[in-house]
Amino acid sequence: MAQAKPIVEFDHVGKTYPNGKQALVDFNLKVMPGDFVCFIGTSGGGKTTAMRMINRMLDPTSGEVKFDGKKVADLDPIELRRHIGYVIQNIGLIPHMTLEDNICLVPKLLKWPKEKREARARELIKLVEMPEDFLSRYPHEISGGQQQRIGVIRALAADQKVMLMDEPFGALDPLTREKLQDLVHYLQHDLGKTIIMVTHDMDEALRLATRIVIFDDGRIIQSASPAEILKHPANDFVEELIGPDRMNEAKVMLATASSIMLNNPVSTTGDVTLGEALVKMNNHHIDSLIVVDDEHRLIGELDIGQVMAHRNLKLKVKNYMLASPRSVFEDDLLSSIYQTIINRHLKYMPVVDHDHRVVGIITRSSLATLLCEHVWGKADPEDNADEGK
Amino acid sequence: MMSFLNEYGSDLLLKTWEQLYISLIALSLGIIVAVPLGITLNRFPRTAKVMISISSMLQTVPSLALLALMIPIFGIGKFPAIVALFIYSLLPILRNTCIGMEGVDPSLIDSAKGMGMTRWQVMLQVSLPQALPVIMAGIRLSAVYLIAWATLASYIGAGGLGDFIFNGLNLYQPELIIGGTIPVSLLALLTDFLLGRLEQKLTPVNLRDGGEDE
Repeated sequence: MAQAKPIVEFDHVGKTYPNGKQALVDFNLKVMPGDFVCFIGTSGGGKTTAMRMINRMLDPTSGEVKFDGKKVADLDPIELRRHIGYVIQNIGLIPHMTLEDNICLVPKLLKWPKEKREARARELIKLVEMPEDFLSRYPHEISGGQQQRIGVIRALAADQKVMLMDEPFGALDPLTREKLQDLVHYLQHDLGKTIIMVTHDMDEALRLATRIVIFDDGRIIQSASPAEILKHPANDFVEELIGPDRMNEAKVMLATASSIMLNNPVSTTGDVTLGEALVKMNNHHIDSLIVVDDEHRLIGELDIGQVMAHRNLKLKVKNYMLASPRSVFEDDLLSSIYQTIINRHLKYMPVVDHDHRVVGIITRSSLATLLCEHVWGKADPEDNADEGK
Repeated sequence: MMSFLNEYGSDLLLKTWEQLYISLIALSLGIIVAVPLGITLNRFPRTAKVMISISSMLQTVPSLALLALMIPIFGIGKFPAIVALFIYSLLPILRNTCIGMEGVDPSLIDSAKGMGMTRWQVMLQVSLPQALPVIMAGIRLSAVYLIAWATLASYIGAGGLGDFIFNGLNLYQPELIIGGTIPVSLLALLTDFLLGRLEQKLTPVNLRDGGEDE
């Protein structure tokens, strides 16, 4: 991935309107092929301005915008736009054209032969799960959600690699919006489209984006992955944009193994005998042991069942332990860990650092504790907040 | 009635035809000039205001005076009459073209442009079809006015049904006045009806149906 060239690049881009208003100040961004970038921020913050510079609907007053390595300023805007998908909030389907003509608008501009266009229209309408005979309908004869679905597939009819979307789902009801989000996620994740979307919906951005760019007053406040933004919001503005609910939720979803693990789990080396191990279990009132080597690296685990199976307590642990057990790294996300623990009915999971040294253990009860904290808050819960709702 | 038709029948047909073609030529010229002008002016809203004011001013010149003014410039006959009527046709068509083009949903134009349509393509394939009903309404209005006003053109020697009416006035023969007026009204109504049908045909599907036409 690192060797790929950016498909869209902003290089010190600025836009100042004649009246002196600075819409965008020194904007730098590299969008890699296959990225899903969300521009989010206050209205008038510069996000739409930035997006519209990519297909030259606006030209910057300073700096360069590059598309596929070429400066867009040197490209014919008409030709450029035909190779970049464009979806806007008000859908923009041409009302006096059938859905087929709408879908095939750009292919027709590119002078595709008729049969190829028709085949493409049929293929695309299938993609959005609408019957083929809808192709002869007019936009006003279908629902708003269906219209926007046509709007989305129209933007990739000529196999555009990059799609620009300006608050595409803002006007839709939540259920329809979610379906369309699934659609664009599919386009990016499965078909490898690069999508740049302007949105004011943080949930949408967090859900879809691989990178979120936060704008305020023409400047980038933060540009990072959703997880990074949730974990380390750049300032109060970002935190406010995310909202307290999501911050709280993020604490759970983005908590790492090290934040909830129990430190100093009971462990033993492989050279002790089963008998000694049994004594250790007994002393600590536990039924299994983590087995480590001299440098405290995880090499196995010993369950009481295994001890009982081999009655001969003189045997060495290292020969009877369960070798190379499942473990997680200390910086793994809880969201992935808990799935494994629950689905595989594990009682616990050793936590290791990147040198495979054991640093802790996560048990089912540590998950339960975390869940309780999330639902009822910590030791001093804000009861008032709950009553208010 | 029958005797009137026997006496003036062929003359009536001829004059009706004159009336019609003077009006229609003036109207066609009006469309040819005002529609493209209105579309172009859509890009220069300030100039558009000025132009609409100018054509409004022309509209306020009394029609008889305008016709009379043509005499020193173009002499008498059909040509000056057509010029005068043409000037009258400009305002409704120009104004409606401007309004129609202005009324096209800007996001529609934005998305068409954003997909890579040229200015011409946006205009011909998107804006114009959407603005057409309003433009057509202007044309219909012009057509009805022109047919009515073409009556006065007889005053400067252009012929038409005005000849009957003025003769009737001069000779005090009410049947001539009525015989000239009724065809004018019928002609205006018929034209309005036919243009109305055409308008409906040209109206984009999304703006069609639901109540009576404009």
